Amino acid sequence: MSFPRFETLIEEHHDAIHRYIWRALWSGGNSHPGDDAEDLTQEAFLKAFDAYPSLRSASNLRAWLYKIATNCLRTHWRQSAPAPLELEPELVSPADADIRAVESQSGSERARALRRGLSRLPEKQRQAVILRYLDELEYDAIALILDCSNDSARANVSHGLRQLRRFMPSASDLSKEEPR
Amino acid sequence: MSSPVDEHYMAMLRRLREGMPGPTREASQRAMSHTLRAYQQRAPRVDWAGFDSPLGRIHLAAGPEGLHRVEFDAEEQEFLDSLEPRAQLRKDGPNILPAVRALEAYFSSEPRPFELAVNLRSMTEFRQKVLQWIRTIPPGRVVTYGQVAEQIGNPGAARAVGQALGANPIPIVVPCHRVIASDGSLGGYSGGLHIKEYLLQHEGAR
Repeated sequence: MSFPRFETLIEEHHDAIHRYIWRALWSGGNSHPGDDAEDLTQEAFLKAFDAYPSLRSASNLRAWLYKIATNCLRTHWRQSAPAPLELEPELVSPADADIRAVESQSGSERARALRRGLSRLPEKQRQAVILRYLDELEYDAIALILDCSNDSARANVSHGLRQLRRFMPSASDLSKEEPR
Repeated sequence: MSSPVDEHYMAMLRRLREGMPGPTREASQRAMSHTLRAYQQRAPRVDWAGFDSPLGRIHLAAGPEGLHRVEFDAEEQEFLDSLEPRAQLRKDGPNILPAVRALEAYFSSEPRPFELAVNLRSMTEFRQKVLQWIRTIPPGRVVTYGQVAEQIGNPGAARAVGQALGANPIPIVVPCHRVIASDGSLGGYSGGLHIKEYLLQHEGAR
């Protein structure tokens, strides 16, 4: 399989990686991730640019980009202070045009509950849950991105969900109709 | 392969996804142009062109340091795919136009030595030496593989010279067709012997 042109890689994957980084930052407690997401996405693609010539296989470029993005996020989190979660009563200010969730009040409440729940998960579990359910990646790709085995990727997703459910009482209301 | 419990959580998360915010279309577009600008500042520039010759379609590529590819008979996409994947490509850009003009002149009139900058840096030192030396063979003349080996100070390296010529990324302009076997036969040519034959006839060497 030949390597696509790097420019094509940007055009095809930039939106997904940007959205992933945006949501990872948001889920990590940053209620206004716009600028950081833009900068980190650029950083991830420039790192990919530098590493592209030494990449051996073009078989899973999407997962490779997610992995670089995940490493950029880790460095970012290591370098920045933890977000003051409890001091932010509102998810977003109504003026924040970057956030869609304000459109409906119930959507906003759901989003706030989700963010609060996600931000309390250990980093690896949170990433695993986002990759599986928001980016809809397969476990093989998640294992590659999080640098762990397929089993460990599954375990992180499942533990993350269990924890999330504990942190989010409203989630059990939402799941009432679901079969056990 | 999901367990029922997994399915259950999945349904929960799907519902929650509806409340999950994300960047707007405008924010995504802004971020992409931000990244594209940074990429363009870093990426090497490669200008390319294609033209029709008596030998069929020929594609060329050059950077600021000179011509680095001449390809016979390739489909355009195949040729583009073969160029350095990180490079920013520019069709008919200023770096390639002198080479297109020189090659068109080569085919349409009496062949003269090419005065074009070439970039052979992707080759080993030995191969660069071989390819630089053969640029001094004028149109209408031929030399043997053994003579090239002697001229570059490696007598006995005729076979390695043959391999260097076979790897020549800039045929015609770096005239590997002017090197033949010691018995007077054509020897080899990566693009096909009919091309070597044509070029030598066109130059009046056969």
